[in-house]
Amino acid sequence: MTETTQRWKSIITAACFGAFALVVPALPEYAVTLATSILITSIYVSSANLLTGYTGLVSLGQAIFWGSAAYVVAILSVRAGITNFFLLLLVALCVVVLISAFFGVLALRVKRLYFMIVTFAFGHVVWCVAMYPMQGITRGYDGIKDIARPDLGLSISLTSGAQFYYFVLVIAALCFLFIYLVTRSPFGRAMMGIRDNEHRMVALGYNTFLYKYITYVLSAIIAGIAGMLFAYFNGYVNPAELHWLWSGDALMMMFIGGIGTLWGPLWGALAYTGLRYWISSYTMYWFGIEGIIFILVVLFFRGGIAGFVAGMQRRLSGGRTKD
Amino acid sequence: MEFSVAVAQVLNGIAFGMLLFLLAAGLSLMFGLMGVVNLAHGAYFMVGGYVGLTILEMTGSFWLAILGGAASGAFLGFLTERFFMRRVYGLHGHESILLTFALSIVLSDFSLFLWTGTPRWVQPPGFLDFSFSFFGNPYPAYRLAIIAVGVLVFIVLYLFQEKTLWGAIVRAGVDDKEMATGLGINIPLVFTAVFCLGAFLAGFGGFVGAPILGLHIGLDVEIIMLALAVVIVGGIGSLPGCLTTCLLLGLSDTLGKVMWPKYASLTIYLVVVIVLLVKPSGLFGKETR
Repeated sequence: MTETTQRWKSIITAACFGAFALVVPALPEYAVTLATSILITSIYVSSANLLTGYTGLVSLGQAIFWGSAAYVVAILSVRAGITNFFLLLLVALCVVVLISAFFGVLALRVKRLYFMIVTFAFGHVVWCVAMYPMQGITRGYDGIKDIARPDLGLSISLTSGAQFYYFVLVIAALCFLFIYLVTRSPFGRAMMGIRDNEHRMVALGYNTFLYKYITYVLSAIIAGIAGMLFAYFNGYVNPAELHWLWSGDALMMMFIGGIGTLWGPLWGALAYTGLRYWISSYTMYWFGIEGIIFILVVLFFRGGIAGFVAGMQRRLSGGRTKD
Repeated sequence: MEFSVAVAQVLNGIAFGMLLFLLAAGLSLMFGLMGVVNLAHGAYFMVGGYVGLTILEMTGSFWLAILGGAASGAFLGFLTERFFMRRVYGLHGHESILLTFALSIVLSDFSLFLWTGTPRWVQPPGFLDFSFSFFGNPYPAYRLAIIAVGVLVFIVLYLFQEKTLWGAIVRAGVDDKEMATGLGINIPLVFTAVFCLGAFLAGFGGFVGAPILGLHIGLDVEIIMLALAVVIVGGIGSLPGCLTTCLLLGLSDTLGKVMWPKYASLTIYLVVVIVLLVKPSGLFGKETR
């Protein structure tokens, strides 16, 4: 497939998603809420995808950044009374950059599965810290509630569901555009080179550590943005947002949607959030059912939804093979 | 800290390290042989404990309960390897992580369904339910028994690995799978056997450890996290290295909880960070990673 057709396809897909996304607020209120949740989750999954799908670093600690940013918003807005969105954004991103810069130096000293284990351990550390030593600030298990919607300091109100939905939509679009541009840039090419064969990239003279490190921090920033939006959306933050299950869910949604593809995270977030919403209304054992779905996907549906869609497109356009 | 209390805490740390060893030995062998990080390994530990508890309540026999717990672990390991892992060997690596992640949450939710969320305790068996007098302070015999069991398991595993034909086959598989296959060794069978053995030890540890650690939903994650820390700190390679790392982490965890209760369970990760900074290949790791 040539570069130009690829680009056209991305633009058309974006236009389709965009057109649909714009009319969502015409739907009933619960659908708007669900769509907002899907968009926020898709930003989070995209951040993990940048790291895992494009750079080949499988991390089980992505919830660290989602949860930290959510906690920054919760703590500062509820307990310290700081409401300006841009100020909170600045603080949250600084916190996320600091944490990821520190963990990145350590975790990137090891490769492949060891990297996964180390990020897993860091995720656990951050969860423990939020639960016990910082209990006075984070309120432990109880979490922090009554987070107000963002205050942009302008004359725009974000109190209604539809208004907040559009706000999230704009940010999600910017994040997806950013990821699209990064993956098309020479930097993005280097990321994929590292994913496919790191030794070769070293031999070509690339400082692969630096590329991986920058990607790790970038991915943390995007996860942090998603976490902030979540805090505003949910109005309530508890340690589950830092838990490794949520890090694992990011990997899973990426896998369900289509790993290493631009729109895969959106598909994955859509499938996961939709299923969770639907199944949770019948049973309390959502996690067990989620696990069974995950197992089936890994065993029988490895290309994910994006792979399935691409296969369908190929079949429709006359059964041409890939490449 | 008073001397006798310090000795008691050191013994606690060693006992905890031995429990970790029961888990980490299997985990690092699977990692070395199959290149798989089995996130469901902690679930075998927890389910083994619960199954043992159920058998204990039904029959009243501690021995049967141990056997049942270990057997349930081995059975789960067998299912995992035969029906799930076998389909994802040789893929990118994230497939096996996702698969074991999914299995662990299924097992955890299934345990919640069967045994509910109420934390449970197991009474040590009658013949071990007493205390030694240690510098004037009582010390439970059961913990000493766990240390003894850990040493015994280590010796048996070590002899198995170094002195028997089966051990030689496993070592050959770790070193070079293709060559071993070429020599007529049935590697898929070895994989299944190692998975079962590792899971057997995990299930065994789950019930044997229950009188100390208790049983609750979430134990699987707590314990797998520590066993994975053993893999990071120790590296994979040698059984004695694994035992040493388990004792080191068991001691740092227990002593950390005594000295800084507020930062409980974080001391282990301090060790992890130091090792990553100083020797990323792990204290006993052979390969660069």
